[in-house]
Amino acid sequence: MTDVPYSYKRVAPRRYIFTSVGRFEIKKVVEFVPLKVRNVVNLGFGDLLPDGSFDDKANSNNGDILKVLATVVHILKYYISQNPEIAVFFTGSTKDRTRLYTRIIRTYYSLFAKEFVLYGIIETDRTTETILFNAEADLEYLAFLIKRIN
Amino acid sequence: MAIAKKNIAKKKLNKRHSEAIVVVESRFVAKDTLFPEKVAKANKILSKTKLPPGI
Repeated sequence: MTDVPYSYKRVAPRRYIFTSVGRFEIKKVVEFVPLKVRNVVNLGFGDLLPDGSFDDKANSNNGDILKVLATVVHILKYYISQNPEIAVFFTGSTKDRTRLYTRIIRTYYSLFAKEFVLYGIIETDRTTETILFNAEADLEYLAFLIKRIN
Repeated sequence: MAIAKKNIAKKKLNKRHSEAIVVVESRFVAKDTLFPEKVAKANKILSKTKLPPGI
């Protein structure tokens, strides 16, 4: 992603924060949590609300979405560089959000593909399967898995 | 003498009984996350997904 990311801070071994500065100043948190599958972590991302809770469905419309996503990608790259054996799972909190991520990945796929292998998880009849992400294909993805090319 | 031996045996028995057996349950618990719903959703998707080699 070509946007300059916000500076971020690691506040716990798997948690990072940064501030989105647009119409408002909104604190954002990015978190990596191990899943049941070995060496796979979930990427969680959301807003810190004034009451101290977190919201991963917020649509803050702060006018800086590309810069925010560039920051998340930067954190993701940093985390994977520190943990090269780890695959990161991510999906949107809603179908629309996942479609937005798909569009963004499609746009910047050529940049990712140099360093990372990206899989998309798609729903078939009764199950789900993992396929290599195809920037040309118009597929509806459930989620994504990203891993550093070793 | 017999009483002393009996007491020693009792102590040994008590010592044996005081050894606790620790059972470690191997169960995944998604704790310490700010986004428990997301983690649950991720685990649900992965549970029915065949992953590619290397993951």
